[in-house]
Amino acid sequence: MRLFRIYLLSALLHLKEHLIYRASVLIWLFSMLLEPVVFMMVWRAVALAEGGSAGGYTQGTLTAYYLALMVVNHLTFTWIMHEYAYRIREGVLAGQLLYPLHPIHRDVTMNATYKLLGLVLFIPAFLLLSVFLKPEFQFEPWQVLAFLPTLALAAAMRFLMEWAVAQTAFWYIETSSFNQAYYVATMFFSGRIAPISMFPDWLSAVARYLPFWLGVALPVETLLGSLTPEEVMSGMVIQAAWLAFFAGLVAWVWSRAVRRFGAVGG
Amino acid sequence: MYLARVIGVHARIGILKDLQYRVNFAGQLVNSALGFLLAIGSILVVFRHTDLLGDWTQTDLIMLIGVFSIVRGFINLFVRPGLQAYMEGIRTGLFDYVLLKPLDSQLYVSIREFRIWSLVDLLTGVGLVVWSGWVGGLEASLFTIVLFFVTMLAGFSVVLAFWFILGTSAFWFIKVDNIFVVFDSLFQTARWPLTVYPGAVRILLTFVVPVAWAVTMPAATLAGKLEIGSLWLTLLVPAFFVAVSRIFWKIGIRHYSGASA
Repeated sequence: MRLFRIYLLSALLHLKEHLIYRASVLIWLFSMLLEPVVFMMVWRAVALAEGGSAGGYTQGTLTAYYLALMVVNHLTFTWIMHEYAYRIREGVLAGQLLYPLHPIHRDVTMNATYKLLGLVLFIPAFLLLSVFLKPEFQFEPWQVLAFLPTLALAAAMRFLMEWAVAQTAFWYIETSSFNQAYYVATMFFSGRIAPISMFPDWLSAVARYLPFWLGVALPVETLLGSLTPEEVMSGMVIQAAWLAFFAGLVAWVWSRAVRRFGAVGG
Repeated sequence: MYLARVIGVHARIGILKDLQYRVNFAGQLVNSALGFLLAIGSILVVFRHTDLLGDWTQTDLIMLIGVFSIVRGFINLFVRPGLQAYMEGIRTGLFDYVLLKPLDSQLYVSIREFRIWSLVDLLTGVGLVVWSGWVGGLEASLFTIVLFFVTMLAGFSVVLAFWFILGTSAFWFIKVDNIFVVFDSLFQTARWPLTVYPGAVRILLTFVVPVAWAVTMPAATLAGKLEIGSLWLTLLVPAFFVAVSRIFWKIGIRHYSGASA
């Protein structure tokens, strides 16, 4: 109950904070929106050149894939690892440590409110692009039902994974190379540069076990019906396993990180 | 001559400054290498499913990525740091000193900073262009090569002018650091040839946000895809954007009233 009230207050606080920086938020959202659209255009051009379909996708299903991915990626991404070094250096973290609550809770509400706000841009963009580009969605009821838990698991798992990755900032002052490596891995394996079935078979088989694919493309492909119910089920089991693993990792890394932390600023 | 000396002095100061932070060189190397891995990887995946993207082959696209990183290196070498310093100056009032210099303020802002490690991107770009030309059995006439340098220069001026158009808004809005995120996200479109995009978007990426155009043109020239009929654009588009950025800058300067002093 107490935690619930803290979450509510902190969500309101962060919502107001995002609204103060609304111009910046709009710019960031726009750049998140553009990336899937560019890759959609590329793959549509490929399908067009190959007489209508490539790798089992038609122009219409490719459009549907990337439109869904655009929204799902927005809902599961975090920017924490680009901010953590700054927080340590500028003493933001030193202040946060004074609260009788794990700082991760603050990030949960900050992230969730940002996502909520982002939907104000993403839903109209989704509808507008749908009108012009004519995606082929074929919804079966079970796909929509299974989509929601896969999405929730994806968001929770990815949040903890990226929070754990962000903790490297305690050990290294300059984390940009590390973040860039993580970024390249996600781009490849989460289905953002191409649906994973476009990769060589052995690579896509491996990718289906990695948290990158499970954190973005699994909900997308569940919704679009390119997975069988069994594949969705096993995907959810692997998601849950990674979720447990990253929860443990966050707890373990955090306990060591705080011990290393020499407060800066104030 | 005088101008060359001024540029030389600023470049030297910039190099001396960056040489203090030699570890950044390693960081830049890693970041560039990862960037290329991603770019080349995406091209390889695309070409598992097709032989031609528009009328671009795989080697043509690697050449395009080469030009892309040359342009990106150019931006990070002095355009981005220069404009960032200028914006900081607007906020702190240090821009006053820019106006006091006996040199055109727009010119001074664009040559003032120099980040030598960004040469990594630029040189790898050159390497990729040469390598893909060699692998693709490119036989370029002297005319093509001259044309390549002309289009490359056109691309540089368009991108520089576009950065200035974005950056000049700082005269009114003061804190607009995030405006460069707009450029970075639009610049992603330049990783692929213009022919990938549907007609209306292509026109947008040529005449409104000419970033993809600036990269496609030089690569198309070298790959022998440039239609001579569209050559007039090579002069017109940069001329237009440079003129607009110049006028905008002049209006902005008049609006500037100093922040501290």
